[in-house]
Amino acid sequence: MAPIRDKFTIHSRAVVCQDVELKGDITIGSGSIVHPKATIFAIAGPIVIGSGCIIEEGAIIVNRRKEVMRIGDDNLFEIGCRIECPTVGNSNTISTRARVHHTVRMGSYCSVGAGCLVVPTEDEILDDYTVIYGPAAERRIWSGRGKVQEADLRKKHAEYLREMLPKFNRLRRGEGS
Amino acid sequence: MDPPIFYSKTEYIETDTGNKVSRRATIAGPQNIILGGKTIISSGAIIRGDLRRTGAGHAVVISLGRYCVVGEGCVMRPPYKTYRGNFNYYPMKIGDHVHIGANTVVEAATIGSHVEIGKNCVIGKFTIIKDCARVADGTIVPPNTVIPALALFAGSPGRFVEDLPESTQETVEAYTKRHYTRFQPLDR
Amino acid sequence: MPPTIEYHCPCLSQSTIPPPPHLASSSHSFHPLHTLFFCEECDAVRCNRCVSVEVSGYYCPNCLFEVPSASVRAEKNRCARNCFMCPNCRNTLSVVPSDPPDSGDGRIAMPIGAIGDTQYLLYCNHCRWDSAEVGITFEKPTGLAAQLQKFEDSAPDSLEFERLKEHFEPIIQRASSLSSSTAANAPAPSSAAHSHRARTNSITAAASAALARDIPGVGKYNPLARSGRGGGAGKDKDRSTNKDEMPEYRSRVDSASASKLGTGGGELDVEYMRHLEDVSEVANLEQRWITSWATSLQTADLKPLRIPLHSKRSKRCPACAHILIKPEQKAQSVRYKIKLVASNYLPAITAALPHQQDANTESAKRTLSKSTAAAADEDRGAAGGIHAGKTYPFQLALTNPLYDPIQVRLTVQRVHAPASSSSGRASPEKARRPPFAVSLPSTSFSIAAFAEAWEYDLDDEDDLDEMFGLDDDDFGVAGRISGREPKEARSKTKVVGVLEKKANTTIVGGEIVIGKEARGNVKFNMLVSYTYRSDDAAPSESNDEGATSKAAVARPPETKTFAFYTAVDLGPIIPREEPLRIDTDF
Repeated sequence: MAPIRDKFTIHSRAVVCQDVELKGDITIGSGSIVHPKATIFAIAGPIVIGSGCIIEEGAIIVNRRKEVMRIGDDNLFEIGCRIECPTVGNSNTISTRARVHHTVRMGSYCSVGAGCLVVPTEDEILDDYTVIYGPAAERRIWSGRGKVQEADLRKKHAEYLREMLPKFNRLRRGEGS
Repeated sequence: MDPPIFYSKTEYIETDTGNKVSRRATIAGPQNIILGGKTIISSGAIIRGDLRRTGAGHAVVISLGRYCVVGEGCVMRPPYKTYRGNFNYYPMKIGDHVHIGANTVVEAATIGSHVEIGKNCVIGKFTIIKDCARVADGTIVPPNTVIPALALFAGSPGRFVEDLPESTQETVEAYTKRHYTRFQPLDR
Repeated sequence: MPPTIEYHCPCLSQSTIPPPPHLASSSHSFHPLHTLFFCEECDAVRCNRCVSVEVSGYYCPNCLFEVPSASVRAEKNRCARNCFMCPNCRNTLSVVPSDPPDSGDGRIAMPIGAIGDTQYLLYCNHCRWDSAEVGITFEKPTGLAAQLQKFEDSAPDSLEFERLKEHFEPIIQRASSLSSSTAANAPAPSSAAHSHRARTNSITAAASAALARDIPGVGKYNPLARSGRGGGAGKDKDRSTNKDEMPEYRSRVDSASASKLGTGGGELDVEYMRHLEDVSEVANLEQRWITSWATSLQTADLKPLRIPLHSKRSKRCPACAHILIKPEQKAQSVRYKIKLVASNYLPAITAALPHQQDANTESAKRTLSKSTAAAADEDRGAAGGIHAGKTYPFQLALTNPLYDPIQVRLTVQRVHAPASSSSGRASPEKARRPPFAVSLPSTSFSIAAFAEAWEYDLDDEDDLDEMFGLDDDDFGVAGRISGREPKEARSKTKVVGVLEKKANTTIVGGEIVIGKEARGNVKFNMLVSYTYRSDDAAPSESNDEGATSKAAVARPPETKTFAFYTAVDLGPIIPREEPLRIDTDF
């Protein structure tokens, strides 16, 4: 299989810092933010990231499959997490140093706790509002109470970053945009 | 009698006050970061001084005291929240003689003095760690946790395990000073 | 693992001589120096096992509020303010306002709380449990415990407990007045191990007396079993004075029908389990046992838990009852009004194996230059290990905490000769004769006094280097602390003896000869005795009578000798036959 050519499509309202590692065919949507030292590798197939996502330092997003890896809107990928899911819905939180394997497809409003390792051997879809937490990656379903406040926090967080990050970090612009 | 811990002389920059900062560390917004002196920032560490509180004037984002160590691959990042509807990042303050183990992520609000944090920990947003506390390796401390003085925390979520000995302050102080003297360049 | 040295506290036996180090049980008699205390009055080492402990203050570990001891009991030892534990995962819960109506754009128009009817809930930011799941919401974000009080008080278990308390109240009162009079003329505690029992308060004594009473309808217990438990001498007396009859206790609800009233257990639970669809509906053991006696099986019934209080503690010498540790009143202060720790009295000792350190340093250097650590770790174990049939030098660094110089003598404790050679019974002890020989300097040596100047040297200006006549070689500060180069050169010629004196630290060398068939750890007991000048002006000199009888025999009156045992563990021996297997363990 021939390696995918680098092709970065970065929306003009997205903020992608210079000091990130991008490889392959990557599309980053409007208002999304990629912090320095983040890594996005489209090894086998392209990666399409929606709008309003925040990808923090040390986060790693990898697509090992040929199909397009689609990440929805308003997702938060915290420090040093690693995501290989073929699909990710909207408004999910992947906490610090969590790792999710490519056998998992994620719905919306899910939350993977700090340091959790999610590696099911068979393909699986995480229902909306699934919470994974604790040393044994236990699961429960979130009631959804507080999601309006969480969405508000994330929107304002992204706004802040779009304003402040360019003051201290050099930015990258996509060739395709 | 302790053997030295060697580092490559070309890798580290030593400041006037004896801070040793690896060139392989990422220091964003250095003008907003204060290092107290004789503090070591190891390679691969990321310190986010750029995430500052909005508003006029000079803002200190992260301050570390004397004889601290930020281990390899650590991330130090100030915590954020909305307060009365306004979003902001808030400063992080760390005392003297604080060691942070490798690959630990810290988003605490305050960490006292003589605190030991193990490796591979996650210290959640707005955590408050009081003096002489210790966090065991691999502990996940959820946001807003308070760790009282002289307490050992471990687990996920991090919980109280036991009280530390009365002489913890002296033990940690001696250890951090010794560590700094042992941390020596190797010419190559 | 680097060599370790632990210090002996003789509280577990009558003899001051510690048990042989190779016995697993000996580990209970030895402790790291920083955990030990020192009683000036008795001139003795004390450990956490033998000191008597008193609570000097209570505080909540989350909000750090200092709870007056008068209200601790009424608040049931838990935080009575806003601190709760998640019943699902034990994380601390946060108080959050409930969501305003969703405007659709993920934005909140008005600041929360501006509208009058906002409700609040407890929310776990680890597992996302919230109190609305179990039907608990609050009208205001403060005084949550008070708002929850009605739930707590109406729980069947607390009602039952109240009833029990009422039932026993008259007995407890009568007994406490009696036992307080007996406790007053009780003899002074005879030995360290029993003193804490004598100190239990009158209420506990009364309660235990009440528990010893026959229970109507229950078969008479075996008196032998009770004497085996060995209660205090005062207990039987209490029992005889309390013989008067007591009314029979009737529980609030009949235990057979309790399960129908939601206390758990019985047919109802069986029925519930039978229709279970999801395992997570059942609360697991860890979630249930923290709450009181009988709890519901269902996760849906888990209530937020008030956070248990922590305490600050004073510690007393078990023999003379003098205070060894007295913390400052403020809960989060790490200072002490009184702190008599052993590290301020006994020399601190660290051990090292030079060949091990060299191996580590070498591999560290190699790692730096190669930038890959792959192979470095493997040969580190082999090079730094202790192989059977070989001889190794080792070093002990002794640091003097006193403001006066001390004279130190080290002696290796021989494993009891009679144990190995005695009588006809074939003792396995014989085979366990130490498989190694230890040589230490036999003469005493001096360690210079501790001076604040040494501290400043490390602490502040590097300019002080010159003041102490230390040349700044290319190792910079390291040369000062370790002084490796000259030491190694010297150790080639001299292995056993004083190797180096620097500030208040003296390094002495010893040697171990490992037997050919040796296995196990190189672990031996070492007696350290040191002589110091006793300064009459010092405040600690109220202990003259104890010291003269014990230590200062046949010595000029201005010096004293103190001796203590340590267990030195230099690490495991790699046996000859199967070095590979041990290597992988490393």
